[in-house]
Amino acid sequence: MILFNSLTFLFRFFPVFLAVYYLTPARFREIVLFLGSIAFYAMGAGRMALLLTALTVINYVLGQMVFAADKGGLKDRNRRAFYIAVFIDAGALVLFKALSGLSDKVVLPLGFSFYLFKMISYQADLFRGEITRRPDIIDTVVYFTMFPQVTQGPIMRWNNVGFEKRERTVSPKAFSDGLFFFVLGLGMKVLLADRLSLLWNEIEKIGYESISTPLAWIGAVGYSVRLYMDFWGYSLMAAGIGMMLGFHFVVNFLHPYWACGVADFYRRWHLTLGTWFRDYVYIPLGGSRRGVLRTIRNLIIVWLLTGLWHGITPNYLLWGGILVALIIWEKYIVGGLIDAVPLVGHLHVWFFVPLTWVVFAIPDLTGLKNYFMRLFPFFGSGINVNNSDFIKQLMIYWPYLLFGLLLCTPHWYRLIVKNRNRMAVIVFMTAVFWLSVYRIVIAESNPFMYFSF
Amino acid sequence: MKLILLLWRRYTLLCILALTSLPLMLLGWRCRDTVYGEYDLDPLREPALSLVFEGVHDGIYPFKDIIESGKRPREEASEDGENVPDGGEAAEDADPEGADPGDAAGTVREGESAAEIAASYEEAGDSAVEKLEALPQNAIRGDADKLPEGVCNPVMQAEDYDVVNVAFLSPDDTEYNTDTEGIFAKNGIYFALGPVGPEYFSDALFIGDSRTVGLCEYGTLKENASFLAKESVNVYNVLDQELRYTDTDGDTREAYAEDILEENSFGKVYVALGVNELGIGTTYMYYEKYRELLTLIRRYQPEALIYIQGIMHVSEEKSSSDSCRNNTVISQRNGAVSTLANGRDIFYIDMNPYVCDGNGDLLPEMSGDGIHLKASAYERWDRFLMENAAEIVK
Repeated sequence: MILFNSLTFLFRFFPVFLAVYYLTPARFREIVLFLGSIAFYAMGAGRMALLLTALTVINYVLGQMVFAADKGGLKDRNRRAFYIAVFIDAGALVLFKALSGLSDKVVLPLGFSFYLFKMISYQADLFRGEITRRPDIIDTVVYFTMFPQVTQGPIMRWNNVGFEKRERTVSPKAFSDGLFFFVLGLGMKVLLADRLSLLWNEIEKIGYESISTPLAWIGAVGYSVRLYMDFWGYSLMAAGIGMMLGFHFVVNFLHPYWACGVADFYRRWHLTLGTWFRDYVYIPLGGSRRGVLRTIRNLIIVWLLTGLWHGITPNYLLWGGILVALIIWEKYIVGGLIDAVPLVGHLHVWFFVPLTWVVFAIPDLTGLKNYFMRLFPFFGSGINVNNSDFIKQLMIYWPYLLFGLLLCTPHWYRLIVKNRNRMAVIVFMTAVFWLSVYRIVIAESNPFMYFSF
Repeated sequence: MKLILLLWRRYTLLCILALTSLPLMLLGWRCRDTVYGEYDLDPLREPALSLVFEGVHDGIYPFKDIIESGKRPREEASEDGENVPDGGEAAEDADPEGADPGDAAGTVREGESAAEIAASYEEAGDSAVEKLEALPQNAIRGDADKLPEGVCNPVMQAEDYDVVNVAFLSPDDTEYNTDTEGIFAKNGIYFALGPVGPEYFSDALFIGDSRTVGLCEYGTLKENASFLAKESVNVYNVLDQELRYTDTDGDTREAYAEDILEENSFGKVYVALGVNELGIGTTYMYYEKYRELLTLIRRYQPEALIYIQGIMHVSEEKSSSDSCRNNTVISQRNGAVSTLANGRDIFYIDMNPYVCDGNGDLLPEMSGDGIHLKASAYERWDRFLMENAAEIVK
C-alpha cells in the first residue's frame, strides 16, 4: 500500500507526477491524472488495479445507459441499467466484505468501499437527473480512480468535482493552500496519530483486564484523538493534493468534537460518508417525514449499514446500534434540553463518543466487556492491576494528547489556517514537514524499532 | 530576479521546502558510501536525504570533529576504574579512518543495522577473546555431564519444538565455544533445579528488556528481587545506556548496568535479552555478545549464580508474519546461548513450555500484543522461576 505519508510518495511519486502533470498542456491533464492514478493504485494493490479498471469501465458504460433523464424522462431501459449497476457495485462490495470476513485468504481490495460508494452515488445521481450534462469518459474515469481519493476517500460527489471547467488549471493561491493543507494533514497523521497509536498498543500489551481505571479513560480519550488525527489528517492530505491538481477542497471533518450532541457529531465526522448514507439510503427510505416509527426504522437501517461498512465483526454492529440508540435518545427525549442548554450536548459528545470508539476499537466481545469493567470499576477490581500505570503512560504521551486535544477545538485550527500566509506559520509548517519526514524515515528504515520492546 | 521574487511570494512554503531539501539531498548523496555507508539506500523508492535522518536518529553526523568532542558518558566512567572491562576500547583503536565515530563493539547503539554491528564485531572480536583469556584462572573447569547419582541436570534443554529451520542455523563449521573457563564455581558442588520460595529471590537481580520491565511491574517477585531493565534494550546495547533499576525496597532510579553490578553484591543474576535483536546480526554474533556479557557479570559478581533465561516465544500470528523475528529464529538462538550454561554456576532455563502451546507458539490468551505477557499472565513467569531454581544438592 502506498501511503501519502511514505517516502516513496512524498519524494518520488508525487513530485514526478506534479512535474509531468503541469508540463502537460491543460487539456490533456486529466489523461495524465487517470494514468497516474492507475499507476498509484497498482503500486499499492497490484493486480487489483485490473478490478478497479474493470469496474470503472462497467460503470461508465452503464452510466451512459442510465443517463437519459434530459431526453423525455426515464425509460425502462434506463431503469434497468441503473439496477444492474447498483447490483454489480453493491454486490461486489458485499461479496468481498463477506469473503474477507470469512477467510484470511481474501483481502478486501485497497479502497474498495470508497470507490464503490463513489460509483453507486454516480449512478444514483444520473438516475435522479442530478447530473445534467452527459458525463464524458475521461471525466468519469478520473472521478472514479483519482489517486488522492482512491484509497481512503473522501467520497467526493460528482457534482462537486468541478468538471464544468474542462481545462484543469490551478491558481498559485490554490496550489499553495493545497500544499499547506497537505503538510498540516501530514503532521496530524505522523506526529500525533501515529504516536498516540502506541499508547493503545501499550494498553493492549498490558491486557484490558489489568489496566487501571484512569488508564482506561486516558486510553479511550487517546484513541478518540488518535482516530480523529489519523482520519482528518489523511483527509486533509487528500484535499490538499486535490487542490494542488485543480480540484475544490473537499470538507470531510468539521470539528466534530465541538459538536452539540452525538447526532450533530456525525454531521461533522467523516462528512462524505454521512451525507452519502443520508442521500442514498436515509432520504430514499423516507427520512424523517413519515412519522416517528418510520424515522426510527430508517435510522436503525442507516446505522447498522454504517457499522457493516466499517467491518463485519460484531463490535461494528454493536457500535452502530449504540449510536442509533444515542441519536434516538437525543432526538426524542433530551432534544429540547440540548437546544436550551448546549453544554448538555457538548457533554454528551465528550462522554459518549469516546466510549463508542472503545466499542469500535475492540473486535472481541470479551475484551470489550473487560475494558468497560475497567472504565466503570463497580463490578470487580480487575486482575493484577498496577494502579499507577497511567502515570508512566502520561509521562510519555502527554504532549501528543495535549496537541491532539487542542486540535479538537476549532479555535487552534482556524488560527493556523487564517494565518497560513504569515511567515511564522510557514516556518512552523516547514518544521512540521521535516519532523514528519524524520519520523517516517525512522519508521520505514526500522519497522521493528518503531515498536521497541 | 523579478520572476524569482514573484515565485517566492506566491509559493513561499514550496520554495522553503525545496530550498531546505536541497542541502539534505546533497549531503545524503555525497556521503552515501562513507559516513552513511552502513545504511541501505534504494534511490528509486526513497530520497538520499533519508540517510541524513537515519544518521541523526543514530547519532551519526557527517561532521566528525563535532562528535568526537562529545564523549559518551559510559566511556568517561570507565576511565576511572582500571579493572573495568571495556570491549569498545581496543576496537576503537583499530577503527579504520574512524569513518563512523561512535561505532565500536560494546557501544552499539539502539537502531543500528545488522551490517553495522557485523562490521564492528569483526574489528572487536579479537580483543574480546583476548580479554576473556586474560581473566584469572582461579576456577576449575566444570563438567556437567559427570553428575553424581540422584542429581538432575541443572541445565534445561532449550525448547526447539522441532521448528529450528536449517535456513537460520549457523554454518556447519560453526563451533560454539563453551569454554567458559574462568567463570566457574568451585568443583565438587552440584546443583539441581527445583522449587523454592519467594525469599530465594531476595538477593536476585533481573536484567532484561521490556519483558523484564513487565515482570517488575506486574510480577509478584517485585517485593523480593531487584530489577534492571528498560524497553528496547538488547544484548548489544544493554551496557551503553541507563536502565531503570528497582531495588528490593521498590526504590527506582536510572543507572548503568556496570555501576549497579559494581556497587551491589547479588546471589543470583537472571538475564533475559534477545527479542529486540532478532532482526539484528546473526545467531553467532548474539551468542558471542551474550558470552561477553556473562563474563562481565562474572567479573563483578564472582559468587553469583547466573541464569540465562531463554527468549520467550511470540504468538503464532507474529511468528508467521515475519521472516526473521519468529519462533524458529528464537529457538535457534536459545539453542546457541543454552550452550553457555555449565550447570555449575551458569544455568539455562526455558519458560516456553509454561506459556506456549504444543507447537511452541505463545498462547493467545497469554498476550495482548503477541510479544509480551499480559499483566494477568506474569504469574506464569513467576511460577516458572519459583519451580526452576538452582539449589545446591551436594
